[in-house]
Amino acid sequence: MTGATENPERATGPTGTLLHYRRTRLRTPGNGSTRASISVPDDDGADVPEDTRDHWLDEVTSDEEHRRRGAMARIMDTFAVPYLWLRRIFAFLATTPGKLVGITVILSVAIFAAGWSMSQSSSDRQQELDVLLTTTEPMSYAAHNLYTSLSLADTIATTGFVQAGVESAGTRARYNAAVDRAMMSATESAAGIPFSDRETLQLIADIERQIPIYTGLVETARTNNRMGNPVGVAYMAEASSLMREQILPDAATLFASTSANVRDQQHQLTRPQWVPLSGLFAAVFFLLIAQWLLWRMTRRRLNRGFLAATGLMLIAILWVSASNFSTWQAGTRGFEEASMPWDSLTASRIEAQQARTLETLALVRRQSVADTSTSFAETADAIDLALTDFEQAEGHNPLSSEANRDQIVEARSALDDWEGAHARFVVAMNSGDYAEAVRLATTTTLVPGSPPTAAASYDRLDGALSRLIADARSSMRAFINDGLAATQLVSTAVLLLSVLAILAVWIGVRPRLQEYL
Amino acid sequence: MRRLLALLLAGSLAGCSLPTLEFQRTPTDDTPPAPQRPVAHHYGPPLPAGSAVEQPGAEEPREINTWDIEGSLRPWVTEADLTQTMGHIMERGRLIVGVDQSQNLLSFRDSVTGELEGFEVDLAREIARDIFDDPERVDFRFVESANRASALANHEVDLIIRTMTVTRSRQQEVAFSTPYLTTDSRLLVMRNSAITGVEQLPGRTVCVTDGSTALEKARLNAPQSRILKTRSWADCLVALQQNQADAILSDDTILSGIAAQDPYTEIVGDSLAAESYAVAMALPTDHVDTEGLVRQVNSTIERVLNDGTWWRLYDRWFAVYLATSGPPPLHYRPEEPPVPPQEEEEEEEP
Repeated sequence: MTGATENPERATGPTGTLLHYRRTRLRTPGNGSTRASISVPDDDGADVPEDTRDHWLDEVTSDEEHRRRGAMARIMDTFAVPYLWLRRIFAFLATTPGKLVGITVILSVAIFAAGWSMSQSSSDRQQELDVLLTTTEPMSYAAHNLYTSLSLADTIATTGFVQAGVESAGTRARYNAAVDRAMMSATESAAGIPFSDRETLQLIADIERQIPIYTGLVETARTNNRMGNPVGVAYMAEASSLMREQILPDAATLFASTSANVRDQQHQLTRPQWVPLSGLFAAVFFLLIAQWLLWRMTRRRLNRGFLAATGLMLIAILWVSASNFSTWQAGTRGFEEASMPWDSLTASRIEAQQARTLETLALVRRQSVADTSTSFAETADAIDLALTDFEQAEGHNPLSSEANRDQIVEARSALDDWEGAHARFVVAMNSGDYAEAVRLATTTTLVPGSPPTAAASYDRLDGALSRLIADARSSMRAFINDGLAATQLVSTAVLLLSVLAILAVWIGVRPRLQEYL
Repeated sequence: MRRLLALLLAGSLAGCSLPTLEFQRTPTDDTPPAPQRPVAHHYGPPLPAGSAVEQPGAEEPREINTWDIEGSLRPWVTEADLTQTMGHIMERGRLIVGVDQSQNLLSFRDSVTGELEGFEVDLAREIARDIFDDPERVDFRFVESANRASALANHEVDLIIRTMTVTRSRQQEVAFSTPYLTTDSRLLVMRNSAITGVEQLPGRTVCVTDGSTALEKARLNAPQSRILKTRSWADCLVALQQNQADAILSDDTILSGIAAQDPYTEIVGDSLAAESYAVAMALPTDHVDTEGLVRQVNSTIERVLNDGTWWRLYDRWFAVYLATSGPPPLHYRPEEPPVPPQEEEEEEEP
């Protein structure tokens, strides 16, 4: 082929036939002049019969023909063989056994495609539910813990500065535990983040970068306090403002975005798998059409194999639908009975902590507390609402435990106590009874006979809220787990059912084919 | 038939979704943007809460007029009926006094007892003693340097005893008592800083509290220095210890309290200005007449100066750190000896 296109001039040259030229050129790969000087008469080869010549090169026999017929012919040549095949195939398909084979092949492809796509979609869904359960949700929980621990640490450190003397060993231990838990939670919340999620990574990095600075400032404040240097208060103010103005807002953003992730994923994973389901329905539809065609062709109404395949596909559809339904139900109930109460409980716990911080800040700064009492009332309302939400959710839940009801009662009574203590705290602050205000806001020990202090009531409330949150969380995880369990085996089952359906189709069509053999 | 086959084929393809391929590494030209890192000086502790940096020459210094000051109101010549002259305070039964949160020696919290102490706190108690016969009937509120005038105007506090220098311009906003303390403005620096006066300040950072006369003095005396404006003087010590400021420009009474907390600091330089502190009260308005309060406070200051209490307080708080030329002279405006209002004027009282 190459010779013909490379050197068309040579073909008509004086050396003789083209074939002769080609052979000599190939044997002596030089230019024309060297070829002229070297004589190779023995090996001319032109006189040797075609079929006895050496075939170490591909034979090119139709050079001249090709040149004459041009591009159109070449296209014809290229497609001639496939065209022939196609013609043969269509000729075969036009026959009755051909039609049978064609229908069966198409059916097999359709069933396999539908089954495979459903199986893939289900296994993806299972994986995503697993990610939700093992990564996204724990991350959100870690973010919640991060916020509450940081807020708690700051409240403890700040109240240490309104009490006389050096803080007690217990206070110190609680502060240390809160900081420790905050660092653990920050690391946990970072563990599930893909490296591409720059914003979240930046948030966690900012928090983790500032916590050591915060603790450093708190320690400097403590040391100065021990030395009797009033500058300790300034260090504490610096630390506290770092926490309230930078770290806590970052932590709040992190918590909001992670819990939104949980909500979104949960919502997305409970939606029915419409697209792959429609594939399965299409497969059944084709099966029915195929049976109608078969009836038209063979005059036999029902084919056992095809019937079995239809049955198998229907089972697959039922299975997937049931799984979809129970995932959806688990998701919806999970949202109503666990996610929503969890959301409002976590939000109200954070609000309670902020109200508590305002209380202690009013002490530390000796500010008027008049403006904080309205926000305190709002916070109390929000907590009450969250508790009501949870109670209602519990009402739907047949498995609700006595312990939860006790916790709600405990939280309610603690909230009432706190409201009462806060009112007395405001009165004490406004009437200049600073010592009483300090006692109300910082003393956690209960004196028998006297009403509980704000600090003690808040601690009770926070404890009850955190236990309720833990419970709401575990039921939320249980619902996600239910959804996960519903997707179990779907992937494998659907694939297996489709393969069986394909087998059934072939087995069913075999006797019909044999009639023609 | 063929058309049907084509239809079937198309349908079967539609039902099939290809498995998603996941590539472990996708070489792309755009590398993910690195997280924005804060500039170098943002590492480590932040500036003290609520502080701001003023670049050199950003603000023109305002004149501090401490010579053309109108004198305060004289105490009543006879014993006054306080329920008439300052009824709202007597009704409350307590005096609300704005002080500094952590100004060593002047007003600070004793970490052992948790009580507020200091020269200014003691002075507030002396005032309460004269009003209520009980030095403990004082409710202390912390006010920031910049909020002193507004706290009075909003009647959040009755008095401000918080190192407030008497100036002509401030007399437009508040009513001052006669001064209780005179001070000299100087510099506090780290011992190893080689700063000996305002001459070494160019290119460095000076710390002052916002809204103080020291801020104007810093703008005037250190025009080529950055000025760190904080909420309280203790924040300036924090900034100095965190190397965010090189010097603190303030009055020696304040500086001695700061130096007492950090043995690595020293007070340097000549006196930049002499000033005096006075108790500040709200200007009289239609709703609240503070004239009686001003006269009452002045009578206390007069008593404190005369019965030796002033020296006792000074010795207790400053003797170790500072020498003094004694208490400031009384400074009253020329007026007829005031007579307290009589019974029949009761209707006129608010």
